[in-house]
Formats: sequence, structure tokens, C-alpha cells
Amino acid sequence: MKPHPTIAAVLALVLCICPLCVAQTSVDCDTLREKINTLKAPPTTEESASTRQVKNKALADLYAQLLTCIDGEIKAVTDIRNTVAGTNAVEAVDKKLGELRDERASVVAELAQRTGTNIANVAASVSAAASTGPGNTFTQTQTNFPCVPGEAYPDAPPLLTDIVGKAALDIATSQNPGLSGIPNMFLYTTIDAASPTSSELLRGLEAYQYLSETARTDKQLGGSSNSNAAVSAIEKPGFVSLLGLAVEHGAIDKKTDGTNLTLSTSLYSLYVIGKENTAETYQQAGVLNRIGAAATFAVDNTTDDLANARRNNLSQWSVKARLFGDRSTRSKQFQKKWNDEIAPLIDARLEALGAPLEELTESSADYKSLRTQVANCLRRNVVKRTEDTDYKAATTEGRTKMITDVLLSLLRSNVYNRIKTGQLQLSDKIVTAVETRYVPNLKAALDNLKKAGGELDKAIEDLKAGPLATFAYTNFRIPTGSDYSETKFLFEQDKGFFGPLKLTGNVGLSFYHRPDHTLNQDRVRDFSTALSFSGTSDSPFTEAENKSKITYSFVGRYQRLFENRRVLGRTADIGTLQFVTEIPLFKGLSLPFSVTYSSATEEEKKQGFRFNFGTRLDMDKLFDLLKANSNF
Amino acid sequence: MNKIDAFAYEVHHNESIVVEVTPTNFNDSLFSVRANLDGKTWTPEPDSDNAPRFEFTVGKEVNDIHTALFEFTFIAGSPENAFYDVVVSGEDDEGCPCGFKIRKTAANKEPGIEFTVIA
Repeated sequence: MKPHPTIAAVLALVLCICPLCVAQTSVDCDTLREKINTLKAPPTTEESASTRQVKNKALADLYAQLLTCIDGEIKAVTDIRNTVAGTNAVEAVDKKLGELRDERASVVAELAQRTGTNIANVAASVSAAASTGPGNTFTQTQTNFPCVPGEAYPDAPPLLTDIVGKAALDIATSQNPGLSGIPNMFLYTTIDAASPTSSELLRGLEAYQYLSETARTDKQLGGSSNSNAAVSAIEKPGFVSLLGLAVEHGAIDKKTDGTNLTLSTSLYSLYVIGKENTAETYQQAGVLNRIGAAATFAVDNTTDDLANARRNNLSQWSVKARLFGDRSTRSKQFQKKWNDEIAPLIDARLEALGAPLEELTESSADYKSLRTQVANCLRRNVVKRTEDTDYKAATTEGRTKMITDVLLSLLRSNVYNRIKTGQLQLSDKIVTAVETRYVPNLKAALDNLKKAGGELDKAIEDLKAGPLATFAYTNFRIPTGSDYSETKFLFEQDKGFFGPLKLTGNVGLSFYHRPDHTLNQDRVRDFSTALSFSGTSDSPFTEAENKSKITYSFVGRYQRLFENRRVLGRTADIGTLQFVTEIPLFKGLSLPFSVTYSSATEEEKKQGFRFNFGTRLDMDKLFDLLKANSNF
Repeated sequence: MNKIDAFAYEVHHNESIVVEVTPTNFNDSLFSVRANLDGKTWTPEPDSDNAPRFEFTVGKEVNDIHTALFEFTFIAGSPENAFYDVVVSGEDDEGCPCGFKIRKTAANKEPGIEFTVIA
């Protein structure tokens, strides 16, 4: 009986890739490639059916040998890769590995076509026969889903385009040497292809917004309320921002308003010099993260700010210590809220992604194989795209689009199409699970997180509104008078007893270091107290993305200056009423304005009004706005 | 463990894998890293609050995949230079140091790591 050509070809394939056969046919891969190309060349004269059959069988034999040969090359290159790992040489070796894997996938497809068997069977035969033990990292993977060229995926679901866009942007901005988010991409594409119902349900879900930065915290400018350029008669206990600014911008933060230069720092930021600023370090620092310091210098050199930071120009220095109240998001109270209310919702979303992915992966060997090979395909093609000349010349936006296009198109052709056409079959049970559990669970998780996002913003706002008390010591250096020190207790409570208005209170006592009795000075210089009510309202002048608000405050201050007692033309009791506002305009520009009524000044018993106004440009805010506008 | 890229590794059956996360420059801002391994919530080792340490032993067979999903949070007000330093390690690691950084400026704050079992 004459054997069927298909059976003969498969038999030949299995025989040729057995270890014995490998030993006997140590033909060079390039020779095999040449022979295949020669046989595949179009015939010069018309071929008979039997000739074509012989040629086809010969090609199948050659492809089978080539497959074994390529596996040997892959193993050899893998060994090289392991040797050069961690060096610059690894990139070129990886590229060669990718090419070999692509070639292997094409050879498997050719074999399947010529032997009339499906790719999975060829791959299974090859996998079983060609396994060369541990250490061969590539031949053990089923190769039944070769990487096929991408095709347009114009109607991709929002969740998929979102994760692909994020991963692409991270590659375009070189965040990490790798492609993040592949599992999520795979899951979303699978759900899109599983059934018309699952696709529709998935498209009803909005892209996930992280519970991340949504608002800007208050910014306390340095210097005390009675430095020369201060427009406010009250000092705020804003210690938190001092710490944040100092550490973020280096150990010492610099701020200048043209008249004064203020350098501020915290003991923690000094403690962390030379160390990694990790959560562990922060905890070890203990009380140091409660103490901040600042020094203010008179500006006489406008070209070099730091040149003013010398002893002669020092007008005051101060130390602040937080006594009670913790407005940080690391406070125990806030952490408890996070752990009890928010973290479980994040876990639920991760489970709504992870559990389906796990079920799908464990549902069939083919799905595992598809995941592994498509992941390799995505990574390889992304790396390849980043090496193109047009990619290197493109802007960040252009690069992001290029990578996004590569990823979406490959997901379409390699995952979506294969599921849609049945090349990879999902069981009815799985499709039902996708429609009735996977997508609904994901929707519920996303909805809960969206709701929690609003609650979280409110919790952060409430945190900033909690009571805060600090103790401040300020040393004033008076070039033409007597130096003195001031101690102050500062308190702040937002949205408390006085409704939407923030209450700020100061009580202070100051002392002369060397009282000049000829100037009627005693050891105690003055006693002062101040109370402020402040609020905010939306600004009609700012851009949509600028959340800056109009701020306003009413301040009452009383000071008893003891040296003015019994001095002609002066009074010891000085009262001040003040209205301060700042109106944000656009691009970080704002207009501060204040009007002050005083019953007297320190120098003379003369009541009167004083107006202060000007413009302020917040460079941080300007940068944020420019960044938001460029969608960076 | 053999590195394919920062988010993909080849591992061996019974190999112990550790993912250690070091939050850096957060100062007094909350940090949070949540994880899921193979569909189940993955909790860090006890006493690793300040540098969460996740561990697992490769229990799946050859050609199977362990999937770890993460979400890193940067809460409102956290410093612009805050980041999570993630170090992935196994046994007889090839191509390492392995891992990645998730900065506040990163677009994708929910990376997945795939561990493919090869032997």
C-alpha cells in the first residue's frame, strides 16, 4: 500500500527532529536555507503533479531539519545572551534571538502548510521531540502562534487604548527599559474579542483614573509676618509645606521677593543628606521631621541672590516646631482611613483583572502559549520600532503614537483576530464567565474606585483643615537698634467653629537681648496677639485647568510695646485691622492687595491707612499649567 | 531567574521570587503599593511596612505563567520627585539587576510582571 503523503511528511518530520537524526544531520542552517530558497524558486518549465509532490515533500523535510537547526542556534545564542547579560552587547544578541524566533515561527507555519496538519500539532510534535532539557529557554515553549504583522484596530475599547497609551508614553519618555501593562492589554483584547456582548460591555467602561494628585496644597511663603515685605499681619503655622519644599528642592529652599531672601530648611532635610530619602529613613528621623528653620536676608545684590546670604545682611532667623496636629497623609488617622476604606477597593480592582486572567490562562494550553508568544511579539516589535530613524527623530507625542500604533495593531492581529476567527477557541463556559462575571466585576470595581476618589479628595481637604499648632522662635537682628527675640504660639483651624472660614491665632512675647535703657527698653519688648479669619472663592479669571482660588482674610492685631510707655508722641498700645486678598489671574500670575488701618505705629502715635498691592508670578504654577496644556 | 525585560522574567519551578518595593522621597506623604498574584490579593511580608517585600515560590509547571499585578499610588501633595524603586530577584539571576522604577511622572502606575516557568 502506498503511504499517504501527509502521513509520510509528518513521519519524516518526527524522524528528522529526533535526537538521533539531529546527530546525523549536522547540516549548516545557512545551507538548509539556501536549499529551501532554491527549491521554492518558481520553476522554469511547467511541473507535473508528481514532481510538485516530490518537491513539496523535500521542502517539508528541509523545513523540519531547519527547525531543529534553528533550535540549536537559539540555544547557542541564548547561552551567549546569558554570558553577556548586563553589558552593552546584550542588545545585539537580543535582536538576533528575536530574528531567530520569528524565523522559527515562519518555519513551523510552512511545515504545517506542507504537511497538512495544523500549527498546534506541528508545534506539539516539535516541542515534544526537540526539548533539550533545562537551560533551553525557547524550545520548550509551544510555538503555535507566530507573530503576524499588525493591522488597524481603529475601534479599540477605551480601557485598552488607555493602558496601551500609558505604556507607550512611558517608553517614549524612557521611564523604564521594558514594556509595562502587557497582562492588562491581553485581558482587555480577549474580552473585546470573546463575544459581541462582552465587547459592548467592555466599551461601556471608562478608562481608569488613578487615585493620585488632584489638588495643590497650600504654599506658605517664608519670613515672619513682620518682615519688611510682609503684607499679612498674621503668621501661619504652615510647617508642612516648609518640610516638603525644602526636601523636594534640596536640603535648603530659597525664596526671594526682591527685598528679602529667605532660606528655609527642616532638620529632617539635613538629616537625610547623604542618605536615601526612603520611608524607612523618614520614620527613623522621628522628631526631626517636626522641626523647621528659616533665615531671612536683606537683598542688596540683585544679580546673585545667594551673595546676600551673609551675616551682615541677616535680618532674622527662626525655628518652628510642630506641637500638635498632623496634616500629613502619613498621619495615623489618614493611613487608617486609607487601609480600611481605599486599599480594599484597589485590591478589588486588581482582583477583577487578575482573577479572569488567571482563569483564562489556566483554561487552555493554547491561551498560555498565545500569552507567552504575543508578549514576546509585542516586546520585540516595540524595541524594533524604537530603533527606527523616524522614531528617533520624533517628538514625545509622535513617539507615543508610533508605539501605540504598533501595540494596538499587533494586539488586533495576534489576539483579537485569533479569538474572533476561532483559531484560539474560548469555551462557552469562559465566554459566559466573561459576560456575566469578568466585565461586571471590573465595572463594579471601577465604579467603587471612582466614588472613593471623590471621598478621598474630601478626606485630604478635611485633613488640611484639622487643628495645627506650632511654636516659633524668631531672632530679629536690627542694624540700627537692639536685637530681640520673639516666641510665638501659632494655631490654625479650618472649617471648624467658624464654618467655612479658617481661624488663625497668634500669641507672642518678645525680649531684647541687650535692652538699651536710654531708649526706655526693658528686657520684655512687647506682647502681641492676632486673630485672622480667612476664606476662598472661585476665580473667574483663571484657565479651566487652573484651580487657584481668590483668597481673602480679615486680620485683627494688638501689640503692647512696652518701651513706648511714657514717651511723648508714641503709644504703647497699637491696634491694627487689615483686609488682605490675592486674586489669581492667568499663567501663575496673581494680584495681592491689602489695606491696613493702624491706630498707631511703633514710631509715632498717628493713626492711618496703608495700602499694599503688586503682582506675583508663581513659576511652579506656571510650569504646571504649561505641562497640562501640552498634555505631557 | 532570567530577565526578558523589566516586566518579564523566565523562572524555574520551585524557585523563590522576591519583589521588594522601596518608596523614596515621599517625606510625610502617604505611599501605597497594592499587589495581586495569580488572581489573589498578594500581601507583603510582615514587618516590611516601610519597604513592602512580596515573596512567592514558583509553583506552576513548565510553560505556565505567574502574573503579578501592581498599583502604585501617589497621593495629592506628594513630592514631584517621589518614586517607587522595585527590585525583582530570584535564584541564580541572569541579566540583573532586575526591576524598575515607578516615578510620579510615570503614565502607567499599574504595571504587571509576568514570570514564565521554563523548567
